[in-house]
Amino acid sequence: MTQRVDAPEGTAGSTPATVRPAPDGPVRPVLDGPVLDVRNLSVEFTAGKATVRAVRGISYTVAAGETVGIVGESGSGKSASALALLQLLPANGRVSGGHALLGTTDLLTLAGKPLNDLRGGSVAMVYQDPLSALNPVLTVGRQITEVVERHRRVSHREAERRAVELLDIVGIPGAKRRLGEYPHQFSGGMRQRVMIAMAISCAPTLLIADEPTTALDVTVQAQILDLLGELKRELGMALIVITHDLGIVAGITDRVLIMYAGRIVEEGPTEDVLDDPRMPYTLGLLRSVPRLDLPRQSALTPIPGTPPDPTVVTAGCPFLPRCPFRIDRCRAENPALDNVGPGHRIACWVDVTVGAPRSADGVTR
Amino acid sequence: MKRFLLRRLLLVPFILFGMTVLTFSVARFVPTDPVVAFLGSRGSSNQAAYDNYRQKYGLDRSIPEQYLRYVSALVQGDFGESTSSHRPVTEELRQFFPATLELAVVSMLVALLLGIPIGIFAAARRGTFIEQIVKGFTMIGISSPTFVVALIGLQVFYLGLGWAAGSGKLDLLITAPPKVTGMVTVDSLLAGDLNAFVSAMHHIALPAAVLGVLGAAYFSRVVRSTMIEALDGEFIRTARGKGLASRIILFRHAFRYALIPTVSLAGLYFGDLFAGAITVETITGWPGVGRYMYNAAVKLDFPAVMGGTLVIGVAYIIINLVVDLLYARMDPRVRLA
Amino acid sequence: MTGETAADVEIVPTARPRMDEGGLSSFIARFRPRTITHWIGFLLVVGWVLLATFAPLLTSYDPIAQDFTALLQPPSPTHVFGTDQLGRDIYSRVLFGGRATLPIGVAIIGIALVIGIPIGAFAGYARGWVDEGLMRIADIFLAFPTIVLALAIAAALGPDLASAVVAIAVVLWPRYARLVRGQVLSLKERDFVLANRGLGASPRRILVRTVLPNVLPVVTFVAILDIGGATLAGATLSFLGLGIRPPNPEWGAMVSLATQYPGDWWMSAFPGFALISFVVGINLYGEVLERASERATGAGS
Repeated sequence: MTQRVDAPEGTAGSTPATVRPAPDGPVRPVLDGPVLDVRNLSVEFTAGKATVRAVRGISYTVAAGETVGIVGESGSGKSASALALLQLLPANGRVSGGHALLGTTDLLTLAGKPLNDLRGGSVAMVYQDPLSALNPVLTVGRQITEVVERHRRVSHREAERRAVELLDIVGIPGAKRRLGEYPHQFSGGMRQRVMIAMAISCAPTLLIADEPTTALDVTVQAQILDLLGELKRELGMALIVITHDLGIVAGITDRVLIMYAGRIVEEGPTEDVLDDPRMPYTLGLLRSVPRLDLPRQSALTPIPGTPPDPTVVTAGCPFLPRCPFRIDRCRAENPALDNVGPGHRIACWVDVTVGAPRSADGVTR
Repeated sequence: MKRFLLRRLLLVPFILFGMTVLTFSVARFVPTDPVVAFLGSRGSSNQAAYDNYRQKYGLDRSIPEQYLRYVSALVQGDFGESTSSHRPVTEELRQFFPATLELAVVSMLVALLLGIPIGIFAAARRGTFIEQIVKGFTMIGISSPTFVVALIGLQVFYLGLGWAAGSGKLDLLITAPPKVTGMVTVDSLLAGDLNAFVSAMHHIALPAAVLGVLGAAYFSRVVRSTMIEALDGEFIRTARGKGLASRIILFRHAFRYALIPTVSLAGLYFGDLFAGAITVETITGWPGVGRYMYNAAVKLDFPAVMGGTLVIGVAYIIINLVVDLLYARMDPRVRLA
Repeated sequence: MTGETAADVEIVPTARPRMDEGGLSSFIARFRPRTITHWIGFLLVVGWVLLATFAPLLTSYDPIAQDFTALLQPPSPTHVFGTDQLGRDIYSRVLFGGRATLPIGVAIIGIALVIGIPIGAFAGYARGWVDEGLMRIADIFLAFPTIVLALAIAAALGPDLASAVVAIAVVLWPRYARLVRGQVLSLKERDFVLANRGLGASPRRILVRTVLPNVLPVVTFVAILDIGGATLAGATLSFLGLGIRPPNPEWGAMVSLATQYPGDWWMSAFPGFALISFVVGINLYGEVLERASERATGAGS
């Protein structure tokens, strides 16, 4: 069940090498190579006597300034893989293998002060539900200034000034006044902006957004996504967006990883994956979502069945029971990621364009 | 917050009214004939004395009328006359209640100053052996009757070690400071009388320690469980994700969150302190309304018992009102709703 | 969020879908101790119940028999727990005392439930003025600290064991009434109740057959947890002289006697230990129920 560990084509060497001075921080060094290099990451949870293998050896890279989307249904392991990067898994979870390299540092081996320096500093995270993710009894201003004070040598007044600046940047009107307010006094979209302000406060190299718009109204979703995109460009951050919504992925990401049952089953440039999906699961996802570009009468076809039991490890492809293209080989061997196009890889034995097993040397377009 | 406060305040007069109805009912509908209780069985066989008593206390009027007489007397500060001491109950309450109030406040301070740190400590050391030890001791604390602990305290610290003072609020040789509040500790401080203050603290030490330690057991459990609940919350994950140090997360985030329900429970715990005072004062000889009520109950002195009950009830309501106001100020979700 | 739709309900106006499957047996399973501390608690409680029940078989001394040749004896081979000021054997008084103390807590809670559940159910179902009125009455009772009011009532009813029990029960019923009312209110709007109403079941029938069976588990859990507190309250009133009449042994009353002989530690230590260990047992075991009641109320929302 090996996965190839070299970087997918099309990304290495194309990183914009820029120097981005953080407003009150050290000058960041030039990065020529991926910002984040995840290799064979695995995450487990213990639930009573059973072990849930939530993430089963995934590998991917994120280049500077790139936006990568991680898509999957609930239980696919997408959130767990992100939390693992900052070691924010709950008490019953642990990283059971792999590396996550930020530059030359393996994030998974950090502990103590270096880990805390990293969190909120070079790597920051935005969470799904801003109402429960913000402390209800502390002011919004305090929750922002504490990040700034933690990572920068500044006075409290200076930190407050910075907080006002940040609230402005994320588009909250009357920022100065709102510093002294509490999370429940903000609307859902505003709260998410506050979280984003907290996250970008120290100009991180990498921002991870875990379902940033799931708890929000549709109209607000678009605003938040736009904001993220804008900030990403201005600050030159790399962005990982985790979501189950293909619509979000289509709008904002450069590359997308489709996860299923803890593994990456398809990855590639967003356009390629969405226009020309090659893995049956991706196909199924696209067919089950309403599309503006398809005629109205097209029926939505949900994928039959349910995801596999995460406590069980099977030999064959995990998608087997639900796959209309299955062949005998799928039962016996779990497919490894393999190229089907420039930067586009799938984990499948079948060529869905012709409905037949893929040829031994890999399918070319 | 205003609506919340308004509602709270409006309820108070109603509750006070209801309380007087309750105490009146209890006092009036006793199986024992109040006349007999007062005059004794020999006295009430005298028809003239019986009738005289009935008329004097309006017992020959209708029930609603009796209630009105009762309430109007209360409002004027007349709680009736003690059947055992034949002194006005109001006077006796004024003499004894401040001591209980004093005891309650000191005990609450002890309970919080001991209980909160222990609770935080237990929450921070969650899952460790030492946390189990703390849980064990606090469990015994909340399961123990006050009178048993008070008696053990007396046996160990007074009879055994001789550390605690005897009964009364002050040493016999010390003159009491001029009465301002009726509370010796406060009055002696106000008068600048250090000797009296020290003596008062010495005397309050044992009863306050008993109630305080039992209270600490309670509060440490409350603080521990609310902090654990806080630490499991998503906002703690956010705090960790910001790279904040553990101590900051514990105190600035978790504790601040847990403090609010703790304050609210502290208000309610005054009820337990007043109740505990009954047995503790009796055993340690602290002259408060608890001991007064105990003596009155044993002698079936109903005016005294009802008077004490009412005073304690009113004090409890006022304290909780203050605590609710404090709570509303402290919890931004209520203050700025 | 309910998991049950009108379609799941039998087409009979007495349908009563449960919140959990398996009905009675799963309900009973909730009482099973799960961790070591639960078992310790369970064994403590059962232990004392057995000791009290089989008291006559476990001692040869009559608990009220006085022996003037053996006054205030410290523990010895003849009197394992020593003797009191009238020469009575404390060990047998502790055993027989359990027969008075233990049932007190249960009786108090039982009576409080009998009063509180119907009132709370009625208030929750009737709403409006009835509800407001009953809840205000409950508030008035709750405005006093428990023992203080119970003391007053017990004194008024006469110093007797029954009056102590009734007094405390009368002070406690509002808690259960409130709890039941809250549960009834939240259940009233749930699909399966609405379905029954749609099928034309009378309010009384719905209340008794459908709502109550789902309310009772929560109330039972809370009530059992309260037995410890009720036992302590009963012992306290006995301590204050308002409970059992001497010379019958009861743990609180025994400690009360002991206060006059503070130097003779065995007079208070053993009944005190009995009280504490029993209540600790209930509290430890009660944690099983705490979890179960949380799940029951949580599942109900």
